[in-house]
Formats: sequence, structure tokens, C-alpha cells
Amino acid sequence: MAPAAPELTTFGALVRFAFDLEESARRLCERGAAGAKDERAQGLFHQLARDHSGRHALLERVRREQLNELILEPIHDLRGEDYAVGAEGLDGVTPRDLIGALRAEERRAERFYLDSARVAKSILAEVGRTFEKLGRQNAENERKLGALIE
Amino acid sequence: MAIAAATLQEVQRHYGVVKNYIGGEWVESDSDQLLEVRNPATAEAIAQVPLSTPEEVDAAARAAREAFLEWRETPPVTRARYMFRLKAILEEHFEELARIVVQEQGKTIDEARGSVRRAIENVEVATGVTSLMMGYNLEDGAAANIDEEVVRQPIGTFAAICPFNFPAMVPFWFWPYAVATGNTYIVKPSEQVPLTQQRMFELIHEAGFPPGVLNLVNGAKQTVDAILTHPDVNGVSFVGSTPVAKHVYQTASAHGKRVQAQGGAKNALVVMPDAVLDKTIPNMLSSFFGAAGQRCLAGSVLVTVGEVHHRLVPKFVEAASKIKLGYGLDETAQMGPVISQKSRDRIHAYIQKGLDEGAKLLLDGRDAKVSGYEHGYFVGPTVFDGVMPDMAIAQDEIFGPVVATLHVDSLDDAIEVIHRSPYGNAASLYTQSGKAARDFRYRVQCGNIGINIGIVAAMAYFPFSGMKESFFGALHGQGKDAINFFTESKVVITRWF
Repeated sequence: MAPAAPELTTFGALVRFAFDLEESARRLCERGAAGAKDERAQGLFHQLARDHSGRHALLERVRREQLNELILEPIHDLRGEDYAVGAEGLDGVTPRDLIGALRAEERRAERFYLDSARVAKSILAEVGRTFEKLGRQNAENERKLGALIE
Repeated sequence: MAIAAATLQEVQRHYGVVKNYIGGEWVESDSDQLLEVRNPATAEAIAQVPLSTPEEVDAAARAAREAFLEWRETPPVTRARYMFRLKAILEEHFEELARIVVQEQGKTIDEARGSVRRAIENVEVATGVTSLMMGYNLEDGAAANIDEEVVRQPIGTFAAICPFNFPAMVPFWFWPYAVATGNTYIVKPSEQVPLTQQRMFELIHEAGFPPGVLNLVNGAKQTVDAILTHPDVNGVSFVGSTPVAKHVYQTASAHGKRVQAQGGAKNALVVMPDAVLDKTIPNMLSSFFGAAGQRCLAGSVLVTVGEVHHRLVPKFVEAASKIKLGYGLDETAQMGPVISQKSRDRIHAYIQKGLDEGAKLLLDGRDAKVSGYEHGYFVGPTVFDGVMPDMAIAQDEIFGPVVATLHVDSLDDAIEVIHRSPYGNAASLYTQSGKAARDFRYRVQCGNIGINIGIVAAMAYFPFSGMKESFFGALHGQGKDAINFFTESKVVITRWF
């Protein structure tokens, strides 16, 4: 199930939503891999599923090691509804539609990470850098998925 | 009780009767006095803690003394390896420990995680004991063919008497350094928050420290006094209020012990006209209201210098009014409850006193309610303006989310306000001027100084400082100070015929 609109009021809440995004993307990628007829597409879906799983582990490490309570400040600048993923059912969709849904996920995640990086950078610089890197990877993933249907 | 959908799961609903850990074994206390441990967000009882007897303190001290004989002969590199093992185990159980902190103390989950991280950082620094504990020498230092050197040696058994506000972190300011340098240890957690250390000691047991090296005794005043007077305890570390810090310092010293006693605070955050307000305000919010104001490093007095007062205060109050209260396991909560009903009543009384003395209440946190947690000990962010330096809310440690705003004309006046306080724990300045910052850090008589930082919390490799009525002793917790506190210098002069 896609993540609902989150309340992004603390760093913990940000990371929790990031977990949900990665998990949602990973499941979609696995679904794409299971249904793909094309070897190239299947390979990409498997790789992206592994990447999203790895990113989940990275985020867990960020939460454990980089949230410094000395500079933990309340967050008011992020609107959860800007990143809420739609709850449209994906049963029976074509492979092309599934790729479209995945690309939309990657774009939303990119927006979320880059916006969160902007908020985090002045407070928890390491967290900000990590989020920026993740956002750039989302952009790259979106590009790779787009190449599948060109 | 309704639980928000975003709420993380509690580790356990009820933890039973807390035990002591003595000589490598879990022991049920002989005491017939049990206190309830309550979740501050729900007021529900989640455990019972025994008030251990002097005889139980004696058992712990004897176990520690016995273990010392072999532990001090264990090479430092071997002692360091126990710390490495413990660090790995604590990382595995990081989230679980953080959730227990929330349940018994009331912090938000992020605050709790941060405090567990800080505890682990002290273990990390202690793994460096092989370097930290080195002495120094000089060939022909005494005369030709007569060499001179200093070695650092452990002393015996130490104890920590810990406060309620950081159940995971504060014991770790002390014992990793003591134990890494070859001493043995007794931890006495606050009777209000014994559960985190209970779990920590299960993990310490898993790390395989030899029996008696680390011991845990639960209790209250009688237990503390037994520690302070026990002949086999060589030193004591304390964190808590100033009146108790003085008692600990005087009593333990009179019994020949080394003491480091961290007391209370009334920390000022000074804002200059050139402060960057959109960065200053969020940082101040975390200082004044983080951990519901229950830190010895919490900001308590907001000192505005010159015209910044009129630009800052309305924005600050507006930002404070938006802070979301809640149960700390709800990841969206930005501030949790205070520790107890008694604490909440005391904070309310101070708010009333502020009004009675003529201060202007801009934001009133007394009627704070959190849906689903109607019995919780919540106090909302509270801000006073028009405070005069001699008012109780400007002088007394409230230990809650109450801000007293004083308006002064100059940095000199702000420093004078700070120096009128008997405390000297921390002070912060928000400015873009290097000159103002240099003046501030040079002149202000507080142990922890922040420049554009509202919570001046020293990392584990620095000492946690403090001055005046905020600290009694010569050496602080953490870092190199800790190594010096827990060891003695021995001078050796050698000549061979």
C-alpha cells in the first residue's frame, strides 16, 4: 500500500516516511521484475529493488548515527501532502503503466529528499548530504526507467 | 486509550519488579519498599523499583572490590576489547533502548535516540584507553642515569548517582572511563527511571564483563547515603539538583572520596540585534523546549539585547505555540510530558508565581492536553515577557518548558544578568559578530558556552563542564577529565646499579 500523507514535523518522522517510500518502491520493482517479459527490464527492476532495500538500511544507519540531539530542531517547512503517493490500484496494469507508476514514485521521492535536504542541511549537515545523494539517485533511476520505454 | 497510527510499539507494557545486578548476577532486592515507575505520557504504572538497603550497597561494593584485584591487572588493550564488544551489542539494541527511554522518561523518540547515541559515544571514546591512559617519561629526568616517569593507575571502586532526565546517557559519562582504566563500578539510576539501565545491564552482561566489574543497585536517598559513606567506594560521580549535589560533595569528600557533582542550572540564551533570526529561533526552540525543558543544558532565560526584542519575541512565541505535544513513541510529537505529576504541579506553581510577580504571560502551557493521553503530565511551551532579574522565574531552576524573557540594552548588561545567577552551567550567544562572541566566551563565567548553539552539550571526547553552583569538584565527566578523575598519577624514579 502506498504511503499516506505524512506529518513531517520531526527528523524521525522524515526518516520514517523515507522508509515507507523505499519499501513501496522496492515492492513495485519486485512486481515489475516478476511480470517483465524483457530481460533488460527484468534486470533493471531487480537492481532497483536491491538498491531500494540498500537505501532502507542506509536510512536506518542515518537515524541511528547522524541525528544529533544537540541540534534537533522542530520541522515546520515540509508539507506531507506534497509527497503523498496516490492510492490508485495497480492490479491488471500494463508493463508500460507499471513503469510509469515507478517513475512517478522516483520523481516524488526525489522531490521529498531534495526538499528534506534543504531543511536538514543547515541543522544536520551530514543528514542533508545523505538526502541529497538519495535524491540524485532517484533522478537517475527515473531516467533509467524512462529509457525502458523509449 | 486511543493510540495514534504513527505510534511505535512499546518494548513491553509492564516490566515487573526491577532487580539489582551484583557480582555478575541478577538479584531480587531484600527491601520491602517498592516505588511505582510510571509512564509520564499515560501516568500508568509500568514497573516497580525497590529502594535497596545499605546491606545491598555493601554487597555491591564488596563484589566490586573483589573484582578490582583481577580487573586492574587486565591489560588495557584487553579491557578495551570489552568496550568494543559492548558497543556492537548496544548498536544492535539501539532502537529498543530508545523506546524504553521514551516509555519511562517521556522524551520524544528522536531525543531518546540521540541520548542513546551519546551513551554509545562514551563507550567509543573509552575504547581508546590504551592511548588515553598513557603516562610520560624522561630519561635522565631526575639526574644523569636516573630516569623519571609518570604512570596512571586505577584506584578502586567508583559509583554514579544518576538523575531522571537522561536514563541512558548519564551513567555512560562516567563508568566506561572508570572501567576502561581498570576500576570497578556501581551504577545507581534514578528511582524514577530504572528501566533503561536494567536493559543496559542485561547487555553489559551479554558483553561478558567479569563478575563484579559492573554492578547496578536501585534505590533512593538511603541507597545514595550508603554509597557516599561506604569505605570501599573510592569516588562518586553525581548529576542532579544543586542542593543534592552539595550534599553529595560534602558527604563523600568527608569520607575521603573523590567527587564530581554536577548541579542545577539557569541557562541564558542571549540574542544580539545582528542574530540571524530564522536560524536562531528554531535552535532556541530546541534549547528551551527540547526534553520538555528538563535538561541541565536547557535554555531557561531569553535575554534580548536592544531592538531585536521587538522583532524576535512575537516570532519566537508564534513558533513555540506550534510545537506539537505528544507521547514520544508518536514519531510526529515534538515535545513530550514532564516526568511526574509533582513536577507538573511545581512548574504550574512557578508560572503562577511569574504572574504574581508581575511578568507578562505571552504563552501559557498550563492547560496543555493531548488527545488520547489525558492523564499524561504535559505542560505546553510557556513564555513570559517583562521579566525582571530578581523575579523567581528569572532566578530559580524550574526544570520545565518555561521561558523568562529579559530585555537589556547591551551585551555588558546581558553578561551581568548571567553573572547574577548563582549557577554557571551554560550560556549561549546568538550573533554574527566575532567580537561579541569573543567577548562573551572570554568573560562569561559558565562552564559550557554556545555561540549560535542553544544546547551546549559536549561530545564524549570533551569534558562536560560547569562552574559555580552548577559543579562541585575539580574534574568533570567525559573525555580526558574522566581519565584523570578515575586514575592516580604515580611518579617513578629509577636508577640501576
